[in-house]
Amino acid sequence: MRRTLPKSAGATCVLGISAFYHDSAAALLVGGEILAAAQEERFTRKKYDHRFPINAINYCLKEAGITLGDLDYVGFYDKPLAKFDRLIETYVAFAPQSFRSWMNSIPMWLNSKLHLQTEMERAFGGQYRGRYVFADHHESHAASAFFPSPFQEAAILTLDGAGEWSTTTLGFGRSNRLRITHEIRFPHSLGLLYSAFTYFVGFRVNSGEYKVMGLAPYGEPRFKDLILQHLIHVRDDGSFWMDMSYFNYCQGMTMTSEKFHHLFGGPPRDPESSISQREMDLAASVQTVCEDIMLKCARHLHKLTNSKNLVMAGGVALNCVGNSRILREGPFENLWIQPAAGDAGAALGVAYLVWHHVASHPRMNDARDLQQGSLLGPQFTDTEIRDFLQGVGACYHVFASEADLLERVTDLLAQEKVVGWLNGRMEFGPRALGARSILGDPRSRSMQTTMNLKIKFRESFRPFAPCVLKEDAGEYFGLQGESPYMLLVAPVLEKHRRSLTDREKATAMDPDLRKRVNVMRSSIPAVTHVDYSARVQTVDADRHGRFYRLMKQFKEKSGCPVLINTSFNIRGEPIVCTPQDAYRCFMGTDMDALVLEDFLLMKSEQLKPRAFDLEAYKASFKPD
Amino acid sequence: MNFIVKAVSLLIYPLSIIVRIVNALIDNDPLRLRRQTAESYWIVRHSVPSRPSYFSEASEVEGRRRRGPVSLLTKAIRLLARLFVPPRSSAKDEKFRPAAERERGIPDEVYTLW
Repeated sequence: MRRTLPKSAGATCVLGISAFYHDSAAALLVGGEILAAAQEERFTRKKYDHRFPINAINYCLKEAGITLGDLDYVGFYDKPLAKFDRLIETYVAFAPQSFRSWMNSIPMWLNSKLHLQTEMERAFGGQYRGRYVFADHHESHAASAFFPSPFQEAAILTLDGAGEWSTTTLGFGRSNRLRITHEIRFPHSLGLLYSAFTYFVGFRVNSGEYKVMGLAPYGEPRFKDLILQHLIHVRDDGSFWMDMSYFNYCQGMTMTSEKFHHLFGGPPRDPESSISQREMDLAASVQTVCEDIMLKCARHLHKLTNSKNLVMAGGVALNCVGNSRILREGPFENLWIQPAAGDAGAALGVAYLVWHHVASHPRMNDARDLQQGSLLGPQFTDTEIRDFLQGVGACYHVFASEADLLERVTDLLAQEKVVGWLNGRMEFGPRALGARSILGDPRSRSMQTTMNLKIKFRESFRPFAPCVLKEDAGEYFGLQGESPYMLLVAPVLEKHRRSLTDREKATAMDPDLRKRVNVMRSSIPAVTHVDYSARVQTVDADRHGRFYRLMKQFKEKSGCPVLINTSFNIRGEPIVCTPQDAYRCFMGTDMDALVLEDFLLMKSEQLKPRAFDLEAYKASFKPD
Repeated sequence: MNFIVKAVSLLIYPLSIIVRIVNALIDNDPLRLRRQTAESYWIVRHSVPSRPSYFSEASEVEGRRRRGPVSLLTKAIRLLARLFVPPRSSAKDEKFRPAAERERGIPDEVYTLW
């Protein structure tokens, strides 16, 4: 059911945009309510698409039933001229080594980035005639963290790679105002330090950081002191300074310098080579440093604000291990993190800044956050799905009653089948939260391998993430409060752990990480990491509707309130958006069943399951 | 056009070397590349953005107000950029393609800093 708030209703319409750097997105506020938000990658099928998010914008407008001409404001998530100042200042500071970088970036600025408003006017084809708003990058992040949060007042911590000048900020929000009070400036950046190690251990920057986090539990932080002595100097208040002679991102085309490589005993790992103990230890070391700094920042911020609430955003706030340490060891009672903490979420942030700071509208929060479980993307009607399925000649079952559908799907899950699940509005942000998910039984010994090799087409050393009924979370995980956006980790409780046999203990030390992670450590092995942690999503009736009822039924059937919830995509592919995307992924993998709203497809019943060009499908996505 | 833009970029670059020398002579270290001795590396922000500043592509609060040779260089490049302003409206049958399309071969980690 589309909610249409036509312009005639008199509601102010604000469109927020993040674009041209990483993970472009659009978000629409109508009357101060988030009506829609989506990342461009979901429509273009190009992961982290940085281009102007015209498809995401069109979707947002369609969802609201308005046109570009109905918008009152368009907000952009950063200040291009401030960023340009920073860029020139950096090139000057590193001249003449900055020549190559200059010759790549300055033409882009001369051609377009210095004409951003004109670029947007062209994109809108002259249909939008209102004013353009530009907000500081970190203020956009701060707004995305504070304004949709459930708090009337909160301390604000933003951490990312770089915006204009700021890379880390502290601030405070109250009612409809927020203020940034302290900052660390480029090139000193916790996000870029983490990215430098991501690059050095052989993963792709801006997408492989979560792999470093997942790799960390295998290693020992034996390089921690080296990092703190040479790369980054950290004060007790969480502020830091980085020695740029170890890095190359200011002036060159890589993250790290020869001096960095020399310090850590060799060049960066070739992405195609195997991961050695050095990489594991490097990951553990930078993860520990990152967590320590996050915690120190939080403690200092608490001293400055004396608030009991903390909100966070910026790419570093996706580090759920660090987030959990802040919640567990930090001074704040409550923590809320913007689920789309990266640049995509800044589109939402700038829209909120327009609403509160520019248009001066009051804030209308209650005890629950305004993020709507981040289910802010497109959804599809049964008619649309039926037409599509008939068009491709798919064999399907349609269920008139939800109870019958859930009965059938939970049967499949209990039989260790892998189920693709498309239900309701698509998620906004990097996590699949039960609207575009692949589901499985976490108790299965073989599920992790099956899902990795036959569905995701990867050989991962990371376990899958669990979703758990909110009311049962305490039965399985040592979780403080709820985690509806999968941004916290929690230990699997002792009572669900199992002691390892001698053979398993030996396997747990195997150089092959895939063997290590497959050791059965608990009653839910597919979601238990080697350190017994799990990245948990709590599922509740209010936010998650049918997905909650599915889990409830699975628990009734199996006694287990936990499911594997992994994103509905293959390696390198953006999470699916439409039934067409989901069907293609279903047909291109060894998934057993696909649920598209009220429709169920069984792989075994499809007439031409192998007519699909699997290799072409896999090749269409660049592995991350 | 692309050739002209690259040629202009090439011609301006030597100015950055001159500005760097001037910066060194006046002991200007805007990126704080030299290790600081302060007890804290936090930089306090004393102001908040005014309402009118939200309608500007420049920032009131990010970084400090910059004067001196770098700001002159920045202004000069911005003036030059006026030569390359794209047309406000696209031709009717032209599909919008933002000029900010990145060129191939630029690593993501570097591009995102630009």
